[in-house]
Amino acid sequence: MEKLNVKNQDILETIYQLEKENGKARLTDIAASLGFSKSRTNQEIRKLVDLGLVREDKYGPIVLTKMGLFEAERVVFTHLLIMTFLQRHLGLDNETAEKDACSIEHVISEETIKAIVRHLEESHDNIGDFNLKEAEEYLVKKKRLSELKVGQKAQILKIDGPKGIKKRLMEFGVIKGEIIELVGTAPFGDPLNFSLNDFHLSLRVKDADNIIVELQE
Amino acid sequence: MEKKEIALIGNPNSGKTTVFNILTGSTAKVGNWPGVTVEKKEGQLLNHNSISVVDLPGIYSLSTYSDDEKVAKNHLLTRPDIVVDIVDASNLKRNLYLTLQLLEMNQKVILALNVMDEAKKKYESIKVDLLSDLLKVPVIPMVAQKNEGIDPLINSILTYEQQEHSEFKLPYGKEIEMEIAFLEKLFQEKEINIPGYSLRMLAIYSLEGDLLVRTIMDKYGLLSVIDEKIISLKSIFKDDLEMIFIEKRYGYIEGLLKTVLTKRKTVENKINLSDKVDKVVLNPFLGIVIFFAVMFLVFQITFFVGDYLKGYLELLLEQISNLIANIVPNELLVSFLNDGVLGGVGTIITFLPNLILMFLLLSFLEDIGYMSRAAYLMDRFMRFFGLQGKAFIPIITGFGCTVPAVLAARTLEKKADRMTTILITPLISCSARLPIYVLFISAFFPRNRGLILFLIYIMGILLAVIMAKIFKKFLFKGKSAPFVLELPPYRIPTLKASFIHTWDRVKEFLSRASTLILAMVILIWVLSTLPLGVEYGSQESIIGIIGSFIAPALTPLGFGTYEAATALISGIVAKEVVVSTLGTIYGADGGGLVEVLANSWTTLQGLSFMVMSAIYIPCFATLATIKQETKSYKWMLFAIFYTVALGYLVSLIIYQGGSLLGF
Ligand SMILES: Nc1nc2c(ncn2[C@@H]2O[C@H](COP(=O)(O)OP(=O)(O)O)[C@@H](O)[C@H]2O)c(=O)[nH]1
Repeated sequence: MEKLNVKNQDILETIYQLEKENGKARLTDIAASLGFSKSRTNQEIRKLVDLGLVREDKYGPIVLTKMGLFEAERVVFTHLLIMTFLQRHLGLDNETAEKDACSIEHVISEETIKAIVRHLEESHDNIGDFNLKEAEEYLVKKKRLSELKVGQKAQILKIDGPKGIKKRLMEFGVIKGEIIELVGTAPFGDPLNFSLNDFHLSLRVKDADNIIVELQE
Repeated sequence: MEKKEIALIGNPNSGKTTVFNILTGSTAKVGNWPGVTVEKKEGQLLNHNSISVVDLPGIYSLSTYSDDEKVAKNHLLTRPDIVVDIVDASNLKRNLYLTLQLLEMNQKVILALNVMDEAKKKYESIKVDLLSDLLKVPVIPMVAQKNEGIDPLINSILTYEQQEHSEFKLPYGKEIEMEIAFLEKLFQEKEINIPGYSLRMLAIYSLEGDLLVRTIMDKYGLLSVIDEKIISLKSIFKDDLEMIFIEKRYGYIEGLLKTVLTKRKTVENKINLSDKVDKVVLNPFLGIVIFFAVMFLVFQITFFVGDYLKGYLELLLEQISNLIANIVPNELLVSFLNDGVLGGVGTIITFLPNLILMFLLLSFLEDIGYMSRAAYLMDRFMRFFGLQGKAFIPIITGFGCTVPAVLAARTLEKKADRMTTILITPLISCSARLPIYVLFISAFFPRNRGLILFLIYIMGILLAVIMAKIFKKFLFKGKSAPFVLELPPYRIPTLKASFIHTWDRVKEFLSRASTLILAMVILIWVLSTLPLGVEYGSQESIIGIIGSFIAPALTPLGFGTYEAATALISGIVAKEVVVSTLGTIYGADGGGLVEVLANSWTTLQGLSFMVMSAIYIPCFATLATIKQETKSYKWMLFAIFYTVALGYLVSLIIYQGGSLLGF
């Protein structure tokens, strides 16, 4: 899928925080905490609905889908990781660390994240409420199936997406616990060629987006 | 003896067609890519005329998504006497999913464990008897390709009724079983009895949300009770119940395979070979180069070798024609035999070498497993025009014949995809158009044959994708289905299969050529000869009069002559008739016709005419198929209208544009 932009990520993060604090996220609360107008917020949320990250029941609260939760947690963990690093290892004050983490979290590369995790591990630090192992799992190991690199193997954790597609995939044997490997990609990087169990299966990036996997060593 | 029916079912590429061919001795199509068997095929068990064998479409599950799955499921609901489930033993896990669904339907299953040769390379051992005990069905290990295991299979079929059978029950765990039991009891109390369904099956289907069963339950007013159960189970499992059922089935298979299979520590090279080949063939850059190279080669070989053989056939026809002229006394009869019969059918027969070669090459590609790779490589391109890679299957079939191509569109799950594909396949040049191309290319482009032929095929493809985009945008809106495509391991096809396959298609072509074309050629001969006394096929003959009437409309395209108009009219019956009609009208065939055309038409006129005949109205057989598949005359008429309009437009552009440029 296309990379999420800063605004997408901020909204996901906000919904995640609101769900955690209040149990649910309403449009008014999201707008208030982002400082956007209601109609602008609504527009942005439409985009997330189209991306399959957020569900909006009529007059109900706004809910993260499995994929939405996955993306939100990614951002939240990245944020915490950077915060910890800036505060404890570079000695920055809370406010500056918070502000900078908010910007860095959107652009930081996987390599840098890995390096920070390694560095913190050496100094036996934990970040926020989460321990490092968990953070590493989220930031380095958990991926969308479409994010695998050729030759990487991963275990299937969750399948999301429209019901029909999900069922089709599952009946094909794409189910929780299976090991799947990206063998190659077609011209222009789409569709993808996976090996699963005893056969080869080709999926489009769009459908592989809806599957969360954990990288295997 | 009492009539019995055996149904064959299995995943695509499990060897189902191979088994069907052996069992029936017939020559149905064998292919190595998903979706080849489109409709049910029927044959008789060899040496047992009272037993009929029905070949159902190759499918992965019975969840009624595509038409293939619906056809299979509906047939199973009629309760065949025995269901032979062909399973690819080298890919057991996924293949057994369908098996479980069959067992849950209480079908009388015989499990044909095919492709044992490859399975033995992967697994240390496969405990066949244990599998049979656990699933409570006969299991027959087979290598269909080498005819191994066929006798035990036939034996098992013949003795099925004498064997003991007990019901298979897949345990779904406490929570779900409780609700199944509750529903079973409820159905019993309400005395629900639906032919084809057992109570347990009804209960499971209800919980899974099977659409057909839901409508039944609606009639009994039980939908709300069922939905309540679904919701309560959903809250326990925190996922859609259908998905839970799928997971449970796969969980069961996993456990089953743990006891039945022992994996080898190191898998032998053969299996990895397929992957190695794919490293090159599916490479994003090389793959495309190889794809086009392969297609180009197919066309070139078809021509170089084909033309060589064709020369001999032409010689032979000339001899026959001379012979007829010498021994037949009546001049009118000589004209009938030479101009009518030989001139028409003879012309078609001389193109056989080209057709046979083309079919042989395409079916070879199909049988080794290259075609689904092509669909994978082409998916991104197909999508650019609003279709998916699978639509490539009907389109490539369309190079052979448009009729099976239209039928193959059934494998597309979404109606929008299917309708679009059905409507554009006539634009793909089928083999019946090849004689036209060969004739005109020989007459006007003798030095660039391969190239021009390649270009005219490309033109068909381009027009098809453009029209697909237009249809998708304006006529059939809607999302495309998920693209889940299996890339089967490469298999060396038995040469026999490729030849059978080719013979099948040639037979089809010949039977059309001999009946339809002969009839048409004779009709044209009659129309050209009457009223008695006029010069053959001249403007005074009936056909000349019809042609002259239409001709003015074709003048802007460069071929406003009664000859051209007449040929186009008769070509609606079948495209190859365009050639024989021209032959009859000009009183020449083979090389003679080439010469006549080259002398009486300009190159630009020839090109314009060739393009028109490539695009306008598909043959009667195709029109009938379109009607059958879309279930409406409206779409058939639409196909006629739009192809004529499109052909007119493209020819107009070519002729007027070419004239302006001074060609
Ligand atoms: N190695 C091996 N190949 C087989 C066997 N049976 C069939 N095949 C090949 O598998 C391919 C697919 O077979 P086909 O009958 O078209 O399968 P279908 O798609 O299920 O109808 C063909 O190339 C066959 O020659 C077998 O027992 N072993």
